Amino acid sequence: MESRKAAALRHPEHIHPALWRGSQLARAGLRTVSTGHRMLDPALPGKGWPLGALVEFALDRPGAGEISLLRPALSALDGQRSIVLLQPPCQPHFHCWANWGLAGRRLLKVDADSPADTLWACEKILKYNACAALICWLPAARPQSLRRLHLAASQSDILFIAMRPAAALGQPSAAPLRLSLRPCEHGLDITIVKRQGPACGQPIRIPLYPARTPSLPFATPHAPLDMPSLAHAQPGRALSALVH
Amino acid sequence: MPTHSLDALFPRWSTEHAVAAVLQNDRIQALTPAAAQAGLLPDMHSGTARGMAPQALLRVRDPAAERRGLQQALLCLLRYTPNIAMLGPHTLALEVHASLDLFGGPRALWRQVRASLQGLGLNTSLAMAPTAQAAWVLAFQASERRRRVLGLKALRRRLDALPPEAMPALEPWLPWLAEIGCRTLGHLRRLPRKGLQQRSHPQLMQSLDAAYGLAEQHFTWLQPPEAFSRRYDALEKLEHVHAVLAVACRLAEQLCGWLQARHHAASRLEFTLHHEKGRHARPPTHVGLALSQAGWRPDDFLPALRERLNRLALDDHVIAVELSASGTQPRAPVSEGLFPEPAQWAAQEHQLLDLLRARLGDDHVLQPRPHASHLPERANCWGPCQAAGGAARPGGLPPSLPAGARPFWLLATPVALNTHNDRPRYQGRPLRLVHGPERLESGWWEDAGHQQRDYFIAQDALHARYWIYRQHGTLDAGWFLHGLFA
Repeated sequence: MESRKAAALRHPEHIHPALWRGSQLARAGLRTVSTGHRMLDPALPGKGWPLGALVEFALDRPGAGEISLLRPALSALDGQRSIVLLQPPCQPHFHCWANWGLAGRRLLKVDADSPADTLWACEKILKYNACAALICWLPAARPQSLRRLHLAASQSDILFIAMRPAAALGQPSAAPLRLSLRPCEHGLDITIVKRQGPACGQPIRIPLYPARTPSLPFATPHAPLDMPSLAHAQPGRALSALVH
Repeated sequence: MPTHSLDALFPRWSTEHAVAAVLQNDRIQALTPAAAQAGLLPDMHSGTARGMAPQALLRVRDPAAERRGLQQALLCLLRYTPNIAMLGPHTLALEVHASLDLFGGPRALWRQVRASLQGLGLNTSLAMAPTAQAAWVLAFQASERRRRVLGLKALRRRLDALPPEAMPALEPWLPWLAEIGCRTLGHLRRLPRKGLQQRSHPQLMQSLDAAYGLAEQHFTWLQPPEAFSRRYDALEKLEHVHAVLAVACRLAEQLCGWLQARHHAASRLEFTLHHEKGRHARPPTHVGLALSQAGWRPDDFLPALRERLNRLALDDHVIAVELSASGTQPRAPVSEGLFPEPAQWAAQEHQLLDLLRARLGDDHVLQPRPHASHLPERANCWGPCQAAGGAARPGGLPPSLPAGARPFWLLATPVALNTHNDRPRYQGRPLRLVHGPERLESGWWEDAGHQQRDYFIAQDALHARYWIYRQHGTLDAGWFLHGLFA
């Protein structure tokens, strides 16, 4: 009897799928899509971005690599449904979208004139559940509104990302997953501020831009360009068998 | 419709407790309960009525308005069944036998029909019975529970107990029936059939048999009009959008009935709001509601219609609202699969986009329309979103480059950067060139002139990445920020 009790306490997910210990990551009951980043997946409950839940990204200003971070997940989503950017801070560049191999995905940009309209549009998109992903910029949403949006999202299977200013991290939020993003030398430092699991002390470094870009096709001989040295000549790399 | 003539002339008499009466041949033909309390009686002379109740509103009966009301009811009820017949000048019979399952059973259908009729502002007395004649008889019963019978046996029991006056078809023989001591329909049925037939008209027996379900009755079903265009003349000036919206919703419901009956679907609704005529005449306001997918149910139109009209700014009060549906086409069959299919996603997305467009405006819901140009700001065009499928025109697709070659955010107008020691600075932080240059050049024949730009990818001390360029070939070669890597 005692041992069974102890076992149940050791694995509370057997009692109810929504339970987890403070030292574990929640696993069950989550629909997720893999982030596509090796470092990030194990740190997230359900090993990926949750679908049908509010995910909050906190960043100081646009251009921290926030969309690049989502790129593998966006390409893994259902291709027949659109991806909506709601109230983006700048014009999205379609060429970049096409370079990412997402030209076949339908990208929609929705602008609203007032914060109330933004929340309304957000709620409708979640309610209709017709899109694959909704990325929404909510610079000044109150915690009550976020809670409502999270509830609306829980009825859908949309990848719902809310971009908030870094200052909003001080506010409480209903989002089960909150990340703080900061650009670093070759990519992005992610601090998991809140997750269904233990606190995450170390920032996770995601490489987005390779340190040395292999020769780009647009590097024409006419332009002065510091051409990268050949791969096998780089320091720290074993010589190939051909040389021996 | 027991108070049809009143409804046509005084649409809100029952809620406002108006003292009102309808005149026919200078005598009162119908009157409200409030008018009856004031001492007016049916068939009273109009002069007497004016003397008894000077506050009473007396209006001459308007058959045209009654016909309009009936037409409205017909269009609205076509949603529930295509088989509607007129039994009397104020009575409509609906054959709902085939619609019961679709609308969730007799009680649910009853409630929906009642709500639709109340929405039209008609005071109706609804009855439901296995035969049309019996329903007509029951419609005159006071309590709503006594007006609903489903089984034929229960119907016969109930009809047997009713007096012959309850049956409109027996009206010519009422004095004769009273004289022979026939006080209920049950008595009438027990009389010898042959004798009754000889002493009265065959029609008496026919309607009696039809009511009891012993004989078939044939109806001429009413046909919906060929084209839909309806005008609603408001009795008072509509000054608020909400009032216009209520009227528009009512018209849209009628349109749905019409579409249902003709098995069509509409993708474009045209509302015309008529303003004051005469000295202060103003041209009518046109409000168009375009749907990316043709619809025929109220739910297809109403959410978008609500948002569209809420956004409307009324310059002047509205006296009439007209709705016409152009471009109706035969309806495409619907997929009834249990699980969402691609077409269903598309249908849902169409509804969502219509809704967003209705509230936010056409120019706020955009999709990429890439344009073949070397200048990024010209190539990156966004246009109003159209039907799903066409992600990009094949001719406008830009050449494929490595993933990190272009920024995700493009600034609409490049921001001039100041320089320090010949190095560009942004927000006070010097920028370090990481990659580049890449020359982008436009032809001298283009509007913007010959542009030669050397693009670089730069990073600041906080490691944010920028797409900056330097004007080439000009004297003051300045630095500009054009994009942010996200």
